[in-house]
Amino acid sequence: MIPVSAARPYLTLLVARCRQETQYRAAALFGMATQLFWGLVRIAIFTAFLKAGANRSSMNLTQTITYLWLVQGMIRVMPWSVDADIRNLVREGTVVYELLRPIDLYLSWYMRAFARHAIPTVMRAIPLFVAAVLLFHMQLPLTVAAGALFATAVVLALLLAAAMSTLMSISLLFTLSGDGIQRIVPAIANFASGLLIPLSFLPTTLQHILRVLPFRDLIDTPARLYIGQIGAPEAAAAFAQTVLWTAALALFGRFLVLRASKRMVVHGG
Amino acid sequence: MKPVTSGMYVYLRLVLACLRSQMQYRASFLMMAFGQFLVTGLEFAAIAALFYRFGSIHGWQLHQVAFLYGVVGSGYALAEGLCRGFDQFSAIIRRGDFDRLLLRPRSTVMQVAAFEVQLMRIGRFLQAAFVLTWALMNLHAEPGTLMAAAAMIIGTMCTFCGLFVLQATLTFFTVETPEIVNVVTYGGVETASFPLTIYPGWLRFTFTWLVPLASTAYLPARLLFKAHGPMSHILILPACGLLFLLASIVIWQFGERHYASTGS
Repeated sequence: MIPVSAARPYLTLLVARCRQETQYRAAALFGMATQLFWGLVRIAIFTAFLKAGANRSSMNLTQTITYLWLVQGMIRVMPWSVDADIRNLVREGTVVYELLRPIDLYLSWYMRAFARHAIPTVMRAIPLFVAAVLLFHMQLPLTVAAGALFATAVVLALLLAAAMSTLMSISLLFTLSGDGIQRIVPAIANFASGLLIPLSFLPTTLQHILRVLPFRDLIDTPARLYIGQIGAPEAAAAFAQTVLWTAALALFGRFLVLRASKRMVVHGG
Repeated sequence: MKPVTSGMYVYLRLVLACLRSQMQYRASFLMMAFGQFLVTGLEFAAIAALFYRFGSIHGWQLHQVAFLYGVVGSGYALAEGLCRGFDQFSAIIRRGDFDRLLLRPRSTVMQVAAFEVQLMRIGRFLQAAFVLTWALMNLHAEPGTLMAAAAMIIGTMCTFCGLFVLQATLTFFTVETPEIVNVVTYGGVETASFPLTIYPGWLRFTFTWLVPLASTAYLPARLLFKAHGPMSHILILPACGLLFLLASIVIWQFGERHYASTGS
């Protein structure tokens, strides 16, 4: 195993990044107000659909409302953008300093990405869930086990999201602008994660396809565990799949970094 | 007074210059336009999936909601394309760029509107236009329906332009645009794409009386599909959007008088 001393720079980096993210508390508060508004609009839309055909629904109204609040709370898990700092590093050529540091580039960017997803998620989700439970019909997990499985799934979702985000940042080393990847990945992720529509509302064939992709573990899997739509046996399988995807994406990212650093043309002078 | 025609001429020249500069990065433009198309396209796929499962919403069928969605989506994309500067106004203020605009002998409204017009918005517009075309085909649209759709798109576009202008006016006082403003712009697109009756009272009030999206989208559509109201009413209602835009410009001019530069 890796000795503790070797892991230290990465842990320090992680803690520093986390501290930096907690500075944006006012933004988180305003963000929460926005999310409350969106939640209420989405709930009105889904409630109207469920009223039209409750018997055709895979979830009852309370479960649906709870699912929609979970989506709003976990919105910052989504790999929506590449790290603006890293984009500037690549554009201005200062990325060369990153390469000079005696640490693993992939791991240090991964830590940044993890902090960038984890801290805003925690800062937004907790106050939002409190407000939604007290005022807007969000349900608490029915069992302690469901709550624990949800918490585990969120941690795994954040690890997976960080791997996706890092991969998007790494693509900058090859394309410079990142304009395309920055729009196409989020578009697919929004649909395939359950952000736009709970996946169990989709036609069955489509569900089978989306089940193989990693995106559903960002939101749909944690949310289903929370509302009790899936239990411990399915959770174990889902978790195993998340871990495999995360490892695969991380290895691929690390491979790309090594390749890029061998044949990189640094811009700027 | 400056002649309006000369103002429009300069606006067109500025817009064309923006477009030419963006076409220098053709691959990037194509990717971004495709990305926009994909984002909203999958959003509509989610709506279609809900209809596939649940059938209807408050008595509205998929093609009727698609009509609303197409009108609102294309109106918004046009507004975003043509009034981009107001949407990005916070950056213009922060860099002190607004001082330069004030020095030029043309209306600031026109100059800001033409600031960094983005051609890639065409992706979103095309997606909404496709949905609208599909809806019109399924509605067996008559010439009247087409005229109504055009009027509704223009009215919706004016309303969103007005919202961008108001959002920018706010920046005269706050410098940063608060994220909460997105609630009426992005939120407006989402809300107005569905029949308004599904929402709680405060939301209906907001998008009827404060932001006239109901008059430019939902109400004319209801007259078309449900109430079979007279065509004159259907065509006159979206004019509320134009009034809203004019009112926003008056407020903008008030805000402009209170502008203090941040530049150095």
